[in-house]
Amino acid sequence: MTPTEQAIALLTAPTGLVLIAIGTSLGITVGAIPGLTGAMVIALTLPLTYSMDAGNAMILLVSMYVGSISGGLITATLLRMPGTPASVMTTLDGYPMAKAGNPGRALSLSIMASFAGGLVSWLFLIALSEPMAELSTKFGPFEFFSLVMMALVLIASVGGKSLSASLFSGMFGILCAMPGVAEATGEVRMTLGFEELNGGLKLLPVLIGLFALSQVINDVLRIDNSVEQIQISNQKLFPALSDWKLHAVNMLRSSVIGTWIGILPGIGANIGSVAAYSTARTFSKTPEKFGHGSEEGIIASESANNATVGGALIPLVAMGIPGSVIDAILLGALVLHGLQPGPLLFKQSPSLIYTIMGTYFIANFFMFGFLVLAVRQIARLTDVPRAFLIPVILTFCVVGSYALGNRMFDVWVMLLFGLVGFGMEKVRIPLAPFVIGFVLGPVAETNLCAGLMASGGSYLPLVTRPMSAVFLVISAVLLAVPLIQRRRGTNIPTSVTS
Amino acid sequence: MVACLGGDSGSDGGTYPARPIKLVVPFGPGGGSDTFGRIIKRGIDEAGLLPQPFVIINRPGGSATIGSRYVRDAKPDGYTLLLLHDAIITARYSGKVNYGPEAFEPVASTGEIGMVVVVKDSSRFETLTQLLEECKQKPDTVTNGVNLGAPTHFAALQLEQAFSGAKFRFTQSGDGADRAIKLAGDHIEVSSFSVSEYVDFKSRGLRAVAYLGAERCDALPEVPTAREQSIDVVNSNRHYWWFPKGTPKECSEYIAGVLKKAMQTEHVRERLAELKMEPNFLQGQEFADYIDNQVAGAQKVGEQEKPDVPDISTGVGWVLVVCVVAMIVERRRPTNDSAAVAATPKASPATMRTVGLLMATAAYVFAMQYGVPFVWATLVFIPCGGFLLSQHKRSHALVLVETSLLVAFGVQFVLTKIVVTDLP
Repeated sequence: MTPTEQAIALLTAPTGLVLIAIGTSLGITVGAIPGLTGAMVIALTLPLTYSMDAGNAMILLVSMYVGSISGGLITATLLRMPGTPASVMTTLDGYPMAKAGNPGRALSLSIMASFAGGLVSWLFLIALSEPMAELSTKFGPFEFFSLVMMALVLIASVGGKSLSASLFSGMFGILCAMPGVAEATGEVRMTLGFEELNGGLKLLPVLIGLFALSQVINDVLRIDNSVEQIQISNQKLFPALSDWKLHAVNMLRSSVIGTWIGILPGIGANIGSVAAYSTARTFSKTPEKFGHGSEEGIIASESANNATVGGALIPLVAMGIPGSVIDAILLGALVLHGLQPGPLLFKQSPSLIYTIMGTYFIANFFMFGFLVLAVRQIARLTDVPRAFLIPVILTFCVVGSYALGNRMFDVWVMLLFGLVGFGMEKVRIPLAPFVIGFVLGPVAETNLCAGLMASGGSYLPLVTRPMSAVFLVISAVLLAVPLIQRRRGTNIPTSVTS
Repeated sequence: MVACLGGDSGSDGGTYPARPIKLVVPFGPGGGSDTFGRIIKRGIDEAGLLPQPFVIINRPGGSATIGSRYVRDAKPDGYTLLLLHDAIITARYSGKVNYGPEAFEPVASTGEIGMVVVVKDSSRFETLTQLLEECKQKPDTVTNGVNLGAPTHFAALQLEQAFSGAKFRFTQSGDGADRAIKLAGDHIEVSSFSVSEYVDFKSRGLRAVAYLGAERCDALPEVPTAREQSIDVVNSNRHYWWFPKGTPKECSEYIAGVLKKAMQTEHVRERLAELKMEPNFLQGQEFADYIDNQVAGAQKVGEQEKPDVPDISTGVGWVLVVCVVAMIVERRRPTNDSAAVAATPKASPATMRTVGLLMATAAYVFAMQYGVPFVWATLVFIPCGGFLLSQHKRSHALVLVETSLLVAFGVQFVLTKIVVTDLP
């Protein structure tokens, strides 16, 4: 069997389809419940995929990814609370439209846009991954180092409100990845006397702590707040053909913007929807409607945030560089299943890559179907009392951190990072750069050291090798622009932190 | 199946193996060790040699010391196995770890594979002699991609020793797959591979200049040996299997028996032939003697200097300090969004509940660390936590108890029966 046939066989097998259905519906549900995020549920599901084979594990996780980005549109529209950070922009127009008596239409447009965004970015995923993997085989250690630097600067300068806070977060992530045996030299360092730290801090306990536990703490603090939900009457949810035609250009444009922003390493769905939203406003004939229930605004936000998923998968499968927090978890999943993400993955397990691509395609149809058919039921689920949910989530946090290494040490690490994550958010330091730094720091260090060993200690190749120089120049520009803008006193329109 | 009742072998009692056996491969996927481990796994699975699943876990990094440490520190209960070649010996002499083979329980040695010295197809080096001659004329210029402290590194050091005055510039280049890409991409000039890695990656434009065996390899008849080129170096690589020290003898013997049978299965024989490996098998005293011999050989090559790389952690530390200063400076200026911060009032009932819940969680983890079984701890934790959050509503009590039963037994079932792991 060719790799493509293998992937198709895996995806059309009952197990594969059931996993996609479970993954998508669970993702949507979790995405729709404010306070539960996709990153959280995927991090908690990862230990459960331990005994599956790599293909099925990726089917489940990628479907969850698709579902969780889409589920946020329900609460964004009905509760004015983004179920996931990715649907912040949808609240701006979805909620006003729902309030004005058209919740069905708002949901229907969002669902249509999400579906279109997914499919457009899927086309980019299948078209761009292999050439990008081929290109990156030409990268040496210096190029990889510069690329990682660019990713870190990118997330710091574009992703957050404050450059210094984002950079701090990224650097702190790098620092937290350092204890243990250094990849480049094999020396044991910074273990503070803990034998358990010799293997370093594990990605999963750190992520569960940062994204699940700290979120739980926030939820408990706000447990008394209750919001009134707009009820959906029996309105038609399946988007009409006229809507597809009416919004085709906007959907396509926003999807392409979302895809490209997704490809950029380090920044994800929320930035994608912000960018598409403001572009749509610029091109709109009725920009004054934006923020007051504009159809175009809903379309732009929802098609872009779904498109970033496909975009962010491209550098993940092609180069092993995660484009977002969830991709960092998927990267961990690949490693856990004995696969090395990177240029060689296309050569070594092409069928797995085709499985990921195929899952992404099918999951979009499942997502569309589930939302059209079951949005009312899912909307009702969102007011499950937190008192039931939170202790269960805490149990899963503990079990999930324990299960991978079978040691209690990891559970304490999870608890510690829960507090760290909560504290960082409290002082307005974004968490996403931390994760990217944590994942990419060791990659940067290993490559820099390998490069320096090859060059006999000279840093010169960093700027004399053309690709490396290009990446560094882009990083420098990205760093300099916000600084110059601030000096001139102009306001930067990036407004959403991740 | 055998009885496996070691002193501290855990509570399994009964028959061994009663749970899935984890094989730790301390290298990334796709390299020689990983491929070999997966071949044996398939041999075992297809012939049904083990009554329990045989699971492969890759723990790459630190020139195999991350994986070997993990197994050394694992419970010696016969469920964690390590697959590691001579790196287990060489890591100590490169100063990476302070333990060697004596920290493990030897199980068996399976398969033997030769090493080749490889350059890119278009390289100016036609022979090994030519290569070493240049390393002598211009020492420390030819980059040799190695996994520092691993057998590839030692093979190269042996070459340096055999050709007096030759000196490579060693570059940390990771596992076989990584080295192949770097060689093909002109980021290193020379590297050593096992024959199986070479056969796998040859199509990426690589060429072997010497085979480090006593005689030419059947699989690569066109590649001359180092000895033919009057360089007296012989180096081969075997795959060793280890248990943590203190694992009962019965477990080692049982697994050695399984491996021996696996080596004879059709799948393994075919694949080993494809990979140009000899299906050698050693266990017991024979294996121990072989290891002693290898240790003595490694001692001769001795310790080398530490690679000279910058102190990255200090650098990161300084950048962090700069960021903190920048952040403080930035925040002293009034910004218009600072109003959004002060959201939660201090010492409200919600804050108290949060602290209470966190303390309950810590107590939950603590209890499990000191021996309270997972199911009991969870049965207590979920209702308590829920009660705390729902402000002691009686009406919630029943649902909470039901939830805790469902979660405790559900998780217990999924993790121990379906997923191969155990709970506290």
